[in-house]
Formats: sequence, structure tokens, C-alpha cells
Amino acid sequence: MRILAMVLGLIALAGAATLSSPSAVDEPGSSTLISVDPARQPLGCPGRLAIPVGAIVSGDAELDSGSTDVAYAITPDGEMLEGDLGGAAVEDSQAVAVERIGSGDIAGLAGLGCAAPERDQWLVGGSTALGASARLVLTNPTASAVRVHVDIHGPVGIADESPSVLVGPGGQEAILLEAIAPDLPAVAIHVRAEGVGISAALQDSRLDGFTAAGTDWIVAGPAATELTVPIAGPATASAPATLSLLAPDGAQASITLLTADGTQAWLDEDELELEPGVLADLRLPDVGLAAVRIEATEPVVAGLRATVARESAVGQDAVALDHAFTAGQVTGDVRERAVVVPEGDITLVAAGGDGTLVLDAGGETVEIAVTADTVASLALDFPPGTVLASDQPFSWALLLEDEQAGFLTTIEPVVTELEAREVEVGIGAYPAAP
Amino acid sequence: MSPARIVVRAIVVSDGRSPHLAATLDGVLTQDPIPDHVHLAITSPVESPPGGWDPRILVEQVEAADFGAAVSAILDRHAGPGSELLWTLHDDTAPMPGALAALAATARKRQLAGVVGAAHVRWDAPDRLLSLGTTTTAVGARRMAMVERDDVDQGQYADRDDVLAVSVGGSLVRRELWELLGGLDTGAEGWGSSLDFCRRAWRAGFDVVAVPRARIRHSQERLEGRRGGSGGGPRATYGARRASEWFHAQAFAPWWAVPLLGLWALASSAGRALLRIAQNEPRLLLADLLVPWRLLAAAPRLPRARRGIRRAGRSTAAERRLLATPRQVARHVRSLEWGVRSRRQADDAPSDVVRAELAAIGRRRRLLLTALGIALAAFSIALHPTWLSGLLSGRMLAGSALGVSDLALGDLWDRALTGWTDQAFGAPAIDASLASLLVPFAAAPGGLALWLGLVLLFAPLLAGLAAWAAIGAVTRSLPVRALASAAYAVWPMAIESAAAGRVAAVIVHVVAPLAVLALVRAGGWQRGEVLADGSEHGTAPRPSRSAAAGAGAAMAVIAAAVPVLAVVAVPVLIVVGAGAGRARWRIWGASVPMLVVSGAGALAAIRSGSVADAWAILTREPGPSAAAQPLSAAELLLGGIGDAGSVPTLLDAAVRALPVAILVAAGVAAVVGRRRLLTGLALVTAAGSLVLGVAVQSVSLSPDAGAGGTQANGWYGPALSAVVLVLVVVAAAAVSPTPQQARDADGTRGAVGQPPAPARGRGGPMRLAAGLGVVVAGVVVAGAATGLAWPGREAAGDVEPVETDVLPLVAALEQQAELRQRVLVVDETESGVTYTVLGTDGSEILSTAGTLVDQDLPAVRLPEALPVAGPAVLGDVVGSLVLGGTSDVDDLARWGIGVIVAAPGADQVADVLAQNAALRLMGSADRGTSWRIGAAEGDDRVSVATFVEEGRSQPVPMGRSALEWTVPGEGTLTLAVAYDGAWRATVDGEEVAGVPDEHGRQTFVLASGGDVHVEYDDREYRVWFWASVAVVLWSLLAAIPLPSRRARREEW
Repeated sequence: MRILAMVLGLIALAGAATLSSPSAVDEPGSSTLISVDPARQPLGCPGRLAIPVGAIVSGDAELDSGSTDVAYAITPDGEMLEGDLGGAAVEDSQAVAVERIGSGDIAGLAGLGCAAPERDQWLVGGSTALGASARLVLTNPTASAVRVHVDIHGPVGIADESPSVLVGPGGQEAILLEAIAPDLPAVAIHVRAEGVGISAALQDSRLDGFTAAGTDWIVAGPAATELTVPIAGPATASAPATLSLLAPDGAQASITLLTADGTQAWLDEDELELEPGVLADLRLPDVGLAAVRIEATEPVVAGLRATVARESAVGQDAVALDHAFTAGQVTGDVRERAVVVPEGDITLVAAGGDGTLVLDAGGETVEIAVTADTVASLALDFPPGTVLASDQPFSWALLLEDEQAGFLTTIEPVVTELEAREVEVGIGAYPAAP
Repeated sequence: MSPARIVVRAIVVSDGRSPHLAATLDGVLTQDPIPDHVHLAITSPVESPPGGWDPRILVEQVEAADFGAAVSAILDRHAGPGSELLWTLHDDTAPMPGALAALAATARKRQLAGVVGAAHVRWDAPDRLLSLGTTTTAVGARRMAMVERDDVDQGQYADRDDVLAVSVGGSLVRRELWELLGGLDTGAEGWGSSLDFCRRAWRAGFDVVAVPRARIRHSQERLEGRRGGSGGGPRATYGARRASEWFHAQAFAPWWAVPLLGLWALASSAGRALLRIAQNEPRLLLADLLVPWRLLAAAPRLPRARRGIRRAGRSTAAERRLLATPRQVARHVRSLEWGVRSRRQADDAPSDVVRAELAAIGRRRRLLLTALGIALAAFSIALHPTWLSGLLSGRMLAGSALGVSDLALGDLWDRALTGWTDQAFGAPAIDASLASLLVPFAAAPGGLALWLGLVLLFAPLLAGLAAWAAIGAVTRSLPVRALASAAYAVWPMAIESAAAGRVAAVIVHVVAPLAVLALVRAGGWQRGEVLADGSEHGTAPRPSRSAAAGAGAAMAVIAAAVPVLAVVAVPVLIVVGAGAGRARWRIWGASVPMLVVSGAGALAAIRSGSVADAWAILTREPGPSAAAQPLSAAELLLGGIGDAGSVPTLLDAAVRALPVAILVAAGVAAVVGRRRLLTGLALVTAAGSLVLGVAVQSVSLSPDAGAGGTQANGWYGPALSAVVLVLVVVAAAAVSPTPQQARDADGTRGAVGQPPAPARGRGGPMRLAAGLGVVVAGVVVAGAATGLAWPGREAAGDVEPVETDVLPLVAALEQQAELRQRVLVVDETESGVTYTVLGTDGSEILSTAGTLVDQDLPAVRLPEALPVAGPAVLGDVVGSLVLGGTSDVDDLARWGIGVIVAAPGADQVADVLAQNAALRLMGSADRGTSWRIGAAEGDDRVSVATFVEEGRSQPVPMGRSALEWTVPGEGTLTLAVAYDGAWRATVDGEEVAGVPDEHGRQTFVLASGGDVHVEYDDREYRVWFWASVAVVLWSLLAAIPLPSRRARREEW
């Protein structure tokens, strides 16, 4: 009896030990994905162009760095921000800022669509090499201070120093990147902001000796596996165009040059190997008005610098340049995008689709036929302030030219749709684990 | 006044129920000189002896209810001079030869002696004194015999003469005194009537004298309860005697002191009741509780008694001189207590040799225990090096599962008392669970944060000491005892429980060994020390009532902490009790506290109506819970040891070998051990616990953060603590030290344990194997402890000391304001944001967990329960807020949330909230940035209670679970708590029904203004709560090993 009890006990324990683990219970209520349309924040316009360090004031209009022939307009009007950078906050879903400087070191046309604050953005283009200046203007049109981290990527990867600045509510900060990461012939800037985000724009100004070599604003462009840069030309030997590409996590990319007549052969190899975080610079072949299509295995960001040459005011042989930066747009993007027509001669350039792009122009419609693998252009004549808007799957931008002066700039549409933001929301104890 | 010859009239009163009547009469008739008259007063028919009554006896039937009345009846029939001496005798008081002569001599000598009393001795042992004079205190509520009971009469009282009182039974009483005082007073049902009579005699100008030489055998039929009673001994008559003492006090007190004495009697009865619980004297407890009522019943007889005293005369200096002084009282009580002690000591007094041997063993035991304690304390501190300094510097332990640990005593008590948990928007609780267990900690100086922190920190030490005590009951082999306790103390799963803040599991790990110890002692199964001659010291340990009560208390604590363990514990108690022989009722009774504590849960499970819900209720975790990877039974038995981190391979192997070693030791012990039946039962218990450990893992627990919060699965730790405890006890129980070792009891050589039975036959090899086993086990335990405390080891939990102030001060102040607000805290994580709704400074999980079943239904309201609203309803609003959406903060205000706090480091959240126009910045601090919803004061202030009158809303002050306010007029009173039927409101005393609104809040539609009183009033909960408190306190009190001096010898 006693031994039996002991044996039974052993058997019971051994039997219990064979039980397998129960299946894990799912944990309902641990967290839910919440999607919210955020409040519309004002757009941030960066303000006036600034002459890079070393401005010369001689009294001679041809030698002076500055200029008296300056026109600056923000359409529609915005509220001027604090500080001396001249930026503005515009309570609208789209706005355009264009500055024309007739002479001096930064002579040229520079325009951009003012951007809404973003938390994470890439600005591709610019240079910190000798004779070039890259001035990052961070505009905070919102009511709270925002801390911003800036990573500078160059042809050898990310720069050692990554500045971080606090931008006060309604404030602006300008960072001269050549002071942080000098001698980079081409850069891509990764701007990360907390909270509601920051509006970032990069002023790229170049000087070839005493001759202006172009000034423009570089705006943020998306990271995607398929991008189209709608304005990629014209390019000539004296006025080249350069495509800058960067894959944050590395990618293999194939690049196609789209002209009015179809694709044009360009690179020898089909695939371009992009190392993570390293900027690749590609010079475009001679071409007229063109666009560039990029297809990559991983998301890439792209920007294109197109130049236009003019006679230099300094000497007979010298050629002065103005340039325009155009960021890549997601191919087939169907989000509502809009641009405000500025003063001047404008041309609508569209690519990256097949069919007719129909734009709403303040009640009227503008139609432009785009066939696959081509770029199409259409001169527009709308009064300044007209809003052009579309949600059709084309990549498009406005080319603003002053042919007489030999200036140009491009203005890309901004996304006016408020993107639903998503966040995982869970209930947790507080304080959480220290 | 003094005639030449004294006439003695002996009156023997009998009710025919004493077997000693014949002996009594014989004693009277054999006196020399014989009394002049011998009367036998019979109050009920008595059969005459076979040869008829002795012709010298005048047998008379009298109608009398008591002794005094019978004597008076005889005196009425037979006139006589006042100087006549009455020898009043009971039928159980047989005078010994010479008694009357001695008494009469004194009566003759002492002219004023009204009462001349004899020494009463034991009937069966005439050399043992029972009584020789009685006295009382100045108050009169304590009657004291002036000899120690059973004292050997060696003539030490030979010079005693004047005393306050003697027993009238067996005394010579002057007839004139008897007639003057009107006989005995029967107000106190006969008890104390001698004292009353003698005191009156003093007042009437007579003396009361004791005569030690006159001895009367007294069988104390009435005191022992044999006279028509149950025969239950002095216990049976205790209540009546105690009441008579108070009656006496009241009778002799000034008139104004009578009610005061009544109150005193009440207080004394309550105090003595507690003592009786501690002494495990339920019968005396009842008697003591009844004393005030007996006194009340005797009140109508009090005026007569007082009249009698007044008639006798005023108090005299002679009487007062004989009253007991406080010093005498103290000496009396002390001698009683010492008497009990010395009798107990004498009962098992070992010889000097044995005593020396025990002292040597005791020295070694204390040495080893000290070493073990120091080692385990060092191990505890090494496990969590930051905890001790943090706790001592006033910080508290906090963790994601634990929440904050500095709960306020008031909140904790309110939670325990009302059953309303403050979890998020509130919910009804099944029982008080951890809240009641933690109240003593919170009440201690330093508060809950310190004491709970120390318990969690020193859990291995506490568990080790508890295990040492428990294992000491099953083996006296010191090395085995130390090893087994250490193995239990460093059990990895328990260490994980403490590190993760699973308080309930830690409590079980610490208390379970005490339950085992108490159970073993309750059954009298503990082992005695093995002496040099191979015998066990104290071979016949007695079952202990106190231990049974202790087992009950320990089990109740375990059941409160981890209710599901009752599922195993109750059957074990039933089986163990069945095998406990005479102690069976005590063992079975030990399950009562646990059953009462689990009662509410069991009832809720039965009512729930579905097996799944019932199981979820039984397996609920009242303490903090956290998700754990489900493990199979085999993995559990192997300790569920996860990734080690950077621990040297050898040490990690030792950690993993510890559970294996325990299993092997238990297995071997089961096979070679002696107590096979108990071993079998223990192993079945372990198997049951293991099954429980596997089964609970698949249970989704009540969300700790409130309805809609994250659910965890059941934790196997407590069940495995039970398994390991059983295994180490089984392993240790098979070993007992051999006499040879005991001979080396000088403490210089470590003894080596071994299984005794085989050792006798086979000697050497077995000893060697056992010794080797102990050495290996020692290495494994030490290695495991080192491996577990290794600095590079991966943390088993996230509990850390943090500042006790969690929220920014501005936010915390709003929680304590009269117009109370809740605080919403938003924090960022890697994957998104988390939020918490706080009614107090930090998440209070300790007191709130374990109240809901699936779909957020309150377990205690099943089956017709409405889901309670919880913080999950705020998910959309919070998501929208942190994304910069334009959602309405009214959703937050609705639940009384007046403050939003962005946790420190949640910069993105803070930036977004700063943009929100509906929020006003209150301040930014180290502990986060706070924004206010609504106004700081005025009607727009957010509050947990609001009153809406004709569309105008105003905040209402409210406490944690109650509200008092004056309502201006008709309107709706809304509490920002989840609706529950137990919320009750009255307006000017009239009850108003509560209804849920569309958001699930508690509202009361008030038809008119007036004083409104709202409170959470769950009556059924309160009944269970108080029953649990009472039964656990009773058990704890009864567990105090306080022997009753009335206990019979076999019960010590």
C-alpha cells in the first residue's frame, strides 16, 4: 500500500511532466493602429536668397556681389516670420516664392513651392566644394519649437558631423553646410525633425571666379523605388545637367532619359549600383528638354541640376550660368498636387505617364498629352496666383524662364492632400520600465 | 455570649447527584466529638443506602433551589440559640478526621469568628491543597484562591488565620450570623456566594478565620461540571464563574460605579476573547464573550444583593486590609503562569547528558543558519545591486508589470474595504486580494514602497529562511537542511518573479514553506533531534493547535495571492487530515481560512455560468501580471531558464543543473525514503501543481491597466514554487543524521547526511554515496547561486528603483484637488505610443489587478454583466492627438481627464501637443510636460464628477469611492467611472437609481435638489471582506503558540 502510493506519486509526476506547452494566447488590446488626418500646418517659405560668405561691395555693379536688381514675391502672401531671413508662413495649401536677382554673385531666378513641415525629408543637390555654397534654411511655421537633425551625405557617404538645431516656433535657422562638411562636390541632405516637422529648403549658389554660376532653391523630394524627374535639360557641353542619386539603404537602379521623342540611350551599363548613403552624380548627355526615369530595387532619392548659359558680364570668354534643381517625383503618384503660377514665362513640363494630364487652373482646365517614355511641354499663360492642381499619375513641374536674362528655375508642385498619419497606440503602465 | 459548651449542628445538603454523599456522611459521623445534630437536607429524592440511613442522621426533604436555601430551611424547622455553630457541608465535601475538633477549637478561641473555614484538599490526594481562604481585589472582579492549586500541604500555611473569605462549605458558621445575614446570596447562581457571605460577615462585625489544620476533602463536583452538567471540567463552568466575579464587583461597588463596571466587563470580555483565540480555546472564547450577557441577565438580582450588603454594615478597615493588593494579584497571576511552564518543562525534562548534546546541536544549527542567512542576504543584494541603496534612499521599485509601489495607505484601505478598484475608469473587484495583504506593509513606517521593495529584494533570503524552518520539521540533518533551503531560495523562476515584480508569486514562494511547516507541526509529524544513542529527542511530538491555525493563516495568504492554488491545497488538506488521526479536525479546519478567502472568487466562478469564465476567475492573478512564453511541463520542471547573457559556461551549467539536481534528489529520496505514503501524497501534490502550472499559461488574464488594456497570460511561477517546495521536502525528509555524527557534536566537523534505513544494513558504500551526493548538491547550489547573481546575466525583469514622484507636480496636484481630475500620460515607444489614464501618481497595479474576464466583463457581476469602459475607448483620441489631428478633447474630459502629460523623452508627442489649440500648457518639467484640458477653475473645469443642470455643467468634488454634495436642483450627476450597480446615491436620504449613460459612465438622474450622498456600496463584497479579515486575523492570533493554563496535559 505504502509502496504503491509512492509509485503512484512518481507516476503522476512523470505523467504531468509530459504535458506540452499550451499555445500562446493572443493579447487583445495590446495596441491598435490609429490613422489620423493631421491638422493642416502653415507652409514655410524660406525667405530671401543670401550671398554666401565673402560678399564684395565695390560700388561697381558688375563686380559687386550684391545687386540692386532684385524682385521677390511670395504668392499668396504669408505672414513674415521672426528673424532676418525673411521667411514667411503661408496659411494655404500651396504657395510659391520666386526671387529674381539681376546681377551679382547670385544672379538668377530661384523659385520654389513653399513646403509644409515634414518630419523626414531628403534634399538632393547642392555642393560644398570651392566656389559653391549650400545654405540650408529651416523654417518652422508652427507654434512649437522643433529640434532638427541634419545629416550630410556626399560622394563618400555620410559626413562626420551631423548638426542639430532647435528652431523656435515661427522661427528660422540657416546652416551653411560648407562650414560643416566642406569640399563635397555634391551633397544630399537628410533632414529629420521631431514633432510636427520642419520646412527645409537648400539654397545652392555657385560662383565661377567672378562669374555667377547659378543659384536656386533645392526642395525636398520623396524616397521611392520609382522616380521621375520631370525636368532634366536641356543639357549642353557648356551648360551641363547633372543627376544626383542616393539610396539610403543601397540599391540597384536603372536610369532612362526621356526626351520629347522617346527614350535616349545614355549610360553604358543597364544597372547602376548605389552604395548605402553614398551620393552618385551622373552627368546627362547633351539633350534638349528631357526627363529622367529611375527604377530601383530599394527606395532612392534623386535631384537634377539643369543649367542654362549666358554671356558673362565680366569678360568676353566667360560664360555665366544659372541653374535649376528639380527633385524626383514618385512615378504614377496620384496624390493631389498643386502649384501656384508665379510671374514670368512658364512652361508646364510633364512626363512619367501615358495619356492626357489634365490640370485644374482656377476653374479652367489645362490639358497636355503625354505619351509613354516621352516628356511633353506646354507654355502656359495664366495670371500669377492661379493654382494649377491635379491628382493624375504624371510627374510634372513648371519651368520658369527669363530667356532674355538667361535665367531659369523650376517649381515643383507640392502635395496638398493631407496624408493620413498612422501610429501604433497601446495602453501601458506608467512609469514604463526605467 | 459564650456558653460553656458549643453546640454544633452539621447540615449536609445533597441534591442526590454526588457519588460522594456516603463518604461525606461517614466523614461527619466519624468526627470526634461528633456534631450534636446531623441533618441531611435533601433537595431532590435520594435513595437511601442499602442498610438505611444511619439513625444519627436526621434526613429531611426540603424545598430549596440551592445550598443556602436548604440550610435556611433546616434552620427554620429546628430552632436553636444564636451561639449554635452550623457546620454546613456539601455532599462532595468529606471532613477528614479531626476537622471538626480543629474548627470548634478555633471557634471557641475566636469569640468574634462568625465563619471558621477549613482547608479544602483534593478528594483523591488529601496532601494537595485546593483552597485555604479566598480573597478578591478592591474592585472585586477577580476571585483569588490564597493557595496555589495542587500545592503540597507541608504546613506552610499553618499560621494563617484571618482571611477575607473561606468556603462556606465545610465551615462552622455562627447561627446568629447566618440569620443576621439572611443566609447566602444567590444572585450569582451560587458562584462566589461564600466570598459574598464572608465579606458581609466582616461588615457585620464578625471575623472570618481559616483553620489550616482542619482539612476537608472536596471533589468539586460543581466546579468540574459533573453536577448535572456536561462533565466538561472547569472550562464548562468558567463563564458562570467569571460572570459571578463581575456580579460580586458590582454588588460591592458604589452605585455610580455599577454601569462602569458593566462596561469594564464588556471590554475585559473582548480582551480575554482575543487571548482565548491565541490560546486556541474556542470554548473559553465563547464563555468569555457571554460574560457580559450573563452579567446583564443577573442584573435584576443585583439590587437584592446590594441591599443585603448594605444591611450587613459598612466596609471596615479589617475587611479592606484583607483585600488583595495589586502586588498580590501580580504574584498570583505569575505563579499561575510559572506553574504551567514548570509543569510543561518538568514533563519533558531531558537528562543533563541529553541537554548538553542538544545544546551542541543547537550551537551548530545556529551557526549554520547564520551562515546561510548571510549567504542568502548577500545573494539577494547581488541579484539586484541597485535596489537596496535605491530603497534606502527613499525611492520605490517600479516596473512595467509592477507599476508603482508607493501606494498610499488610505487608497489601499479604501480599495480593500469597498471593493472598488481604481484601475483606469474603475471596476468592481471580486475580493480584496493583494490590497488587504499589503495594508500592513503600507501602514508600517516607511510605507509600502520600502517594505514591499525589501520583500522583493530579500525574497531569496526570506524564502530560504522559511524553507529552513519547514525542512527542519522533516529532517534534522543540518547539511541537508541548509542545502535544501538554499536550493529552494535560489529557484530561478522565483527570482524571475521578483525581478519582474510579480508580487503574488513572491508572496507564495515565501509563505508556502511556512504553510508546510505549520501543517507538519499541526499533525505532530515533525522530527526530533537524533541523539547519540540513536533515539530521537521528543519522540512523541504532539499535534499543535497553534500550528494548525498557522497553517490556516498561511494558506489563506497563499489563496489571496494566487487563488488557483486552493484547487490543489484543499484536496491535499482533506487527504492529510484524513490521515492525521486525532488531529484531523484541526487539519481540516486549517482549510477554513483559505476557503473563506477564496469564497467570493469561488462563488463568482460558480455564478459565471460558463466554464471558460469560471476557469478565468479561478486562475486570476490579483498581483501584477505580464506576458510569458508558454512552456511545457518538462521545461517548467527544468526551471524555465532562458537566455543567460554573458555568464561563464560552467556557472550557467550549474544554474541549469539545479532543477535537475532537485528532481534527482527527490526521485532517489522517494525510492529509498521511509515515509512512502506521505511521499506518494507529496508527489501527487507536485504533479497537481505542475498540471496547474501548465494549464494557467493558456489563460488570458484581466488587463492590469484596466478594461481594454493589454492582457497577459497566467504565470506558472507560484505553481512551480509549490512543486519545488514539495520536491525539496521529499528529498530532505528521507535523510536523517546518524547517531555517530551526533557524537561529533562539537561543531568542528561537518556532519554528512544519509538515508538512515539502508545505512544500518549496508554501512560504508551508502554513506559514501550519500556524502558524495551532498557535496555534489552543494557545488551545484553554490554554482547556481553564483551564476544567477553573475553581473553579466541578462536581467530577468525590468523592476528598478525610481523616484516615488512619477508625474509632474502640476499634474499630480490636480489628482489630489477637491475637484479631482485624472491624468492622461502619453509616452513614446519604438513602435508607437503608449498611454495610461492615472487617478493617482503612477500606475497602481498592485491593488487593482485581476477583476475582469474576457471582453472586459467584471468577473463578480457575471453572468449578467455589462462590459466596463476602459482606457481603450480613448485609443482613437490619443492616436489623433499625437498625430496632430483635430479630434475633440471632450472625449478625454468626459472621463475626468483634466491633464495630459507627455512623458520625458516623448519629444515628438510634446511637440504635437504643443500645437493643439484645445490644450493649455501647464508647465514643463523633468517629469514631463503637462497640458490642461478645460479651465483651471470654474464651471469649465474638468472633474471626475459633474452635475448638469439645464445644459449647464459644473464640476463636483468627489473622493475615491464616495461623494457628498449639495445639489442645487433637478439635473444629472455623472461620475467619470465605469457603470456598476453597486454605486448608490441618496438625495436627502431618498435612494436614486443609477443608470449607465451612452459612454458607459455612472449617472444619477436627480429629480430635485438636496444633499446628495453617493458611494460605492457592494454589500456582498463587504461581507466576504470582513469574513476574510476576521478569519485570517483569528488564524494569525490563534497561531501564536500561547498555551492555555486550563489546557489538559495531553494538549500542551
